[in-house]
Amino acid sequence: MSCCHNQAPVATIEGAVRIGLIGNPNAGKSTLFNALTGLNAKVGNYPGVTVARYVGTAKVDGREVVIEDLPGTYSLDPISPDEQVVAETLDLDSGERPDGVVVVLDATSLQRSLGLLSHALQLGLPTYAVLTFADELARRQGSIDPAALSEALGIPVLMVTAGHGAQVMDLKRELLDPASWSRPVVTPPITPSAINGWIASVLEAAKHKPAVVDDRTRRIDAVLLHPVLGFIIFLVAMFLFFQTIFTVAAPIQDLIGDGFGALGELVSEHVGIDWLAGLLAGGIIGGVGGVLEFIPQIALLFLLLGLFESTGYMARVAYLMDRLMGKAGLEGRAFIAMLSSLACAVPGIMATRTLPSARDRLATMMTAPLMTCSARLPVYTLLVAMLIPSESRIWIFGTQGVVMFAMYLLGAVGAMAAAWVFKFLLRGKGPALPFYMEMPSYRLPSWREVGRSVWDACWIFLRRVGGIILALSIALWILLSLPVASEDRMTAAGVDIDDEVAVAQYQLDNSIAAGVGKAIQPVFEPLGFDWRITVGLVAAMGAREVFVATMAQVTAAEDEEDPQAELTEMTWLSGPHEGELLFTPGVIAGLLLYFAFALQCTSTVAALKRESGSWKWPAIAFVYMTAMAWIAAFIGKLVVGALVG
Amino acid sequence: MGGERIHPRRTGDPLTVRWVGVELGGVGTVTSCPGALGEWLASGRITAITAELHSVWVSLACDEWAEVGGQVHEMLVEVQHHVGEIGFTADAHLLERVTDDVLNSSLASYIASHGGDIRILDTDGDHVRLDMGGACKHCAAATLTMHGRIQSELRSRLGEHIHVASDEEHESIWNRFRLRGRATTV
Repeated sequence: MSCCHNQAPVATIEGAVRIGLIGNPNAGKSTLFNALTGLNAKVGNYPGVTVARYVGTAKVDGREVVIEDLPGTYSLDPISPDEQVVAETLDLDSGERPDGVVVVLDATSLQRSLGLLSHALQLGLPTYAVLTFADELARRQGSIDPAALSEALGIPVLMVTAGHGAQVMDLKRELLDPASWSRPVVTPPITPSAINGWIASVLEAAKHKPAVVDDRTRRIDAVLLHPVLGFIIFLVAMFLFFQTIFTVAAPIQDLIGDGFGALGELVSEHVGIDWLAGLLAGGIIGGVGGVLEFIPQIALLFLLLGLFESTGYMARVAYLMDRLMGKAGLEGRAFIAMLSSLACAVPGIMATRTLPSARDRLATMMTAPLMTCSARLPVYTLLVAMLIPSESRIWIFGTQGVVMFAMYLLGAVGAMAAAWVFKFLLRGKGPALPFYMEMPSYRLPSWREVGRSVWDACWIFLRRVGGIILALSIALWILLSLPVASEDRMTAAGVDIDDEVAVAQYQLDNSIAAGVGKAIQPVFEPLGFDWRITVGLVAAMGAREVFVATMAQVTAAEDEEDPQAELTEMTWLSGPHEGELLFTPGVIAGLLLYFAFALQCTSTVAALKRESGSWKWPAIAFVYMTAMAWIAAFIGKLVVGALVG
Repeated sequence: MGGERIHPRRTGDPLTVRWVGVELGGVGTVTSCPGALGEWLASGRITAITAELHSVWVSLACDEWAEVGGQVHEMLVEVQHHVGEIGFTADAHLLERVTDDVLNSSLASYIASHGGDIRILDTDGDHVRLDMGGACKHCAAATLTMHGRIQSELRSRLGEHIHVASDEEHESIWNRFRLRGRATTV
């Protein structure tokens, strides 16, 4: 939703109180923002900058308060575009100056947070301090007296813990009247040493006991954060994980596949109307069932990500990667965005908001889709199973698992390399910004949290299947089944109308989908893709998993008995390669590489447009990634073809 | 950091600010001091400077704290380097003022949350007498509040020689047994 010039028509209500929310990144500011505004937030862009703007309304006592979640900053002395935005919005001359400012302070790092507060108080606006992570502070044997802190600061202070609705309600009421908030009698000093003195004095008066790093965390971190050992441990963990996916998920996957196969047969037998049976068995069950098989993989992937997050290991990984990312010109925080992209590039792109530098943000956004997202997983699983027999082993490890791991590694390396190139191309002013992050203590995973994220992921996957994948499957089925070939036409073409397989193949080869596929085919022919694969690729632009659905439909259309085996034996239907095996190892390798690099997801394109503020960047992403995919597939096909055949 | 470990606080008077953390090396009214602070004091721009052990009350004549706060901050930091040159006289009203501050800011919420209503009856040198009213009147822990909290807070701010006592009529049985013939060591 944007008008011309890509300026966000951000929600403002005449006469409503306007509050600005500022705080360090990761201080829990956005969580608070969500708690205050519920789902009433609109996303836009600040004019001229690639910084997303979040404005929402909080409803309290029948009135509305407009709250703006300003980008996380460490100080109001801007050194990056985001901090610039905050400084400008809060500036005296800004027409957008809020009526009051809420400063979110992380109670476990008050020494640092109060620095930002001291800057904020210079603005002369009514200021309210909210202390977050109170529970974390208590858990780490720290403490603070909020009432005493309020006295010392001269402004109101509220301590909150995430998830406590009553506190948020209290805060909301306070927001109605910023003019009534107490103000400090003298603004804090401005020189660094004086500010530090002020902070120390205030914290002493507030009886502050800083949080301690708990011992267990420290000891574990001595190993897991070790620059070499820690990194190796991470790689080993990821490797073992992919092994598990194939050993544990595969049998479940087969069960589901068999189940759908049986269901499809049942439908074909019992549904009298031919075309309906075809639609149900082929279009819906065949297409959608083919994708649903991969729920075990999805569930396992999110289980892993959830465990990382819940135990606190995720932050360590980001820290370890920081050094590596540094070589690509990025920082550890970019890694979090990239790691999120393993689930789906859309939240990964949105996670780039945490990057202080707009250049970093853009470079990360444009390359995060190269990370192996969960939608690629079904495609990879299918192709790898076709390429490598399940019994194959490298030493004690299943080769299939090894190849999967390699594909994920390829995605990661590709993303970093591309990011490096982007940073180089986008080079401009600005020093390297410091990166530091809070490491939460290690804790046992919250099974509720992890279970929740696995459930959410599966649910989102199911929704995708029930939504866009189902729609595309039906559309494809229609396009593959029309026009219905008449018997005369077939006889004239030399097809034996009693041979069901031949009839089905002719039908397929002359359908609308075939027409479209064959028109585009020349582009992909050097890669060894025929029109069916081409149609699959085009359909996959809506959702990558649809490729699997397409292949399932195409093979079911030809021979409904055993679609799985059909795939490996598919041959070219017409043209110069007629009769040759379609899925040669070279072609499969090429397909794998194509999927690794191509941008095939309308949701990602939409997210890129939203976060970057224009169509220019998603267009560039589409072009460069498709080109990369084509070239990689070509090389892959050549090399593997030469090696194996 | 040294003398910069300070922060300002409002008092009941808009012209007076208490600077917590300032240590001038003495207690009472400041009669003379070196540097810019001394100049302001002498010229009357600052009407009074009264020191506790770890904070100082500064009253302006007519300037706005919002405007000169930063300057006063710097002057206070500076003067702490020259504590030997500061002259003091005893301030008879200081004890009352500090007790008032303790009762109405630091301990106010504690007292109120227990339903207490404590007021100053009178002060005499180092002694202050309180009227423990409200719920405090019949509370067995009144002495504890008085000595444990109020007295210790006053002593930390003005020195160990401060004594807090309550009106005798309000002594409970426990207090009578404790006070007879024995020094309370709370």
